[in-house]
Amino acid sequence: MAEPLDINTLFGPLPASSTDLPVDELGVLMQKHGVGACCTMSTVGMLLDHTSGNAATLAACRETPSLIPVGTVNPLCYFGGEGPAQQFVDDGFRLIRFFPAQQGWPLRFAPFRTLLRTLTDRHLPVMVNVSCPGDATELADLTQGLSCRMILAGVDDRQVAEAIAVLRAHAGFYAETSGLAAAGAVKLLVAGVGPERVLFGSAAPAQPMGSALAAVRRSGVSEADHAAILGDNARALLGI
Amino acid sequence: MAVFDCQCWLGGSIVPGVSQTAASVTADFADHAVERALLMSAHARVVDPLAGNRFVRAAVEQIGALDGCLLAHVNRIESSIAAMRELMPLRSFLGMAVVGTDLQEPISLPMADEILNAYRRYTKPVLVFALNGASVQAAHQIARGYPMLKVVLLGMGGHDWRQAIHAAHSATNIVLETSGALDRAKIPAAVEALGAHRVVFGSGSPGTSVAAALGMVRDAGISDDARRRILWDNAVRLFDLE
Repeated sequence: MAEPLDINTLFGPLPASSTDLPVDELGVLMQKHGVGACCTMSTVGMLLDHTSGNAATLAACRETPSLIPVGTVNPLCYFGGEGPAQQFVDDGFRLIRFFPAQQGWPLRFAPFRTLLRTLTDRHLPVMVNVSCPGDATELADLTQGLSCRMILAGVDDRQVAEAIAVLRAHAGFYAETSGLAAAGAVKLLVAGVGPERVLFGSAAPAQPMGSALAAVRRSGVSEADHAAILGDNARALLGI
Repeated sequence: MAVFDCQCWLGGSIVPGVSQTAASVTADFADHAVERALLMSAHARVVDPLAGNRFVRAAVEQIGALDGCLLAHVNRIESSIAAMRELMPLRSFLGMAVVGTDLQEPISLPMADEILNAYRRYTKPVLVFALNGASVQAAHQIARGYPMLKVVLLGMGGHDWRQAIHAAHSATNIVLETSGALDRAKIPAAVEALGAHRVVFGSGSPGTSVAAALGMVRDAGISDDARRRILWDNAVRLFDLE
């Protein structure tokens, strides 16, 4: 089995969490848990300014080849045009993340809709943190008519039923596992949508990488499904 | 390393088949080295304290690795006290948790006073859900009001775990239980501030799987000795099982 690929990590200061995660420490965590690669981005991009955050992400990923650069853009600071999406492609970002709850904007938000369209046109996958029931449905409605690849990050046990319904209806949707700490939740999701639609993510540093890995490894799914969830699916999605 | 899980539930999972019976609660105990676990009833919490706690009794009589935790509801004092009189004299019931309508709801001393007054004769620990800062403050009030009882803060304050550590620092009869927020910093911080002897492991399963909860403890930057105390020794001492 290839080493796991963690699709959901951040590095840098994170005041809402109790521990910051310097990029070096992310490397230590990866080594400790045998994680071969991480999709990651600077917390600065989420908390303050996506331009400087994306620059920090690129710098960190150039230094460490096992880190895969993830870009972000805050729709509150997006004033239209194709520029950001094309820049992401030119810079080599593999995935673009959005943080509606953390940044205080609604999913039904015109700048976000425009961004989704421009990113989809450039075949960039998108990952959006879903914080409460209804978010996944809203995202599904927003992307009607777009052939986007959308990862629902942070799906928890209250949102599993919704995620299954959305993933069954939308072929380009995936679910990430960091919120699925409840007993049986990963297995339920896999049974509902198939292992190929589930991606391992830890949400480090806000959550322990060991917990997220254990939740998948001890989920009771087959070895083949483990391999798919822990890395193969993400590698295929990201074209790695 | 043997594990004593101080919080697992019978019923209440949204996942079909998970934790519905004593056998399904304990299905993966061996995989995680869980040798004992304190079982609480979701039925007692949200439907009927008397019937729900009797389900727990049946489960612990069926499976030796399970011990009972009585659930007393502050809105159902009469049936909670009836359940207490029936079940707390049993050796298999190790403690009592006091709950309200919502686990996030702080249980203040006046709300719990009648139940706690009836309970103190059993000299067993009382467990209080402390999933936020307000609940920690309420639990702290209970600990100060009943210094003869050990008060276990289930959930360790949630994301407000610093407040839980602070409360435990000022009331020496408080013990912190590790469920709640999956936060890799909280256990090292508690061990540093209080010592490893004031922390016990609880998963909150099935809400959080034992695997995920143990992952946090195993990730924590603490010594193996401290980890062993948290996972086993402290619970054995707390519930007087030596």
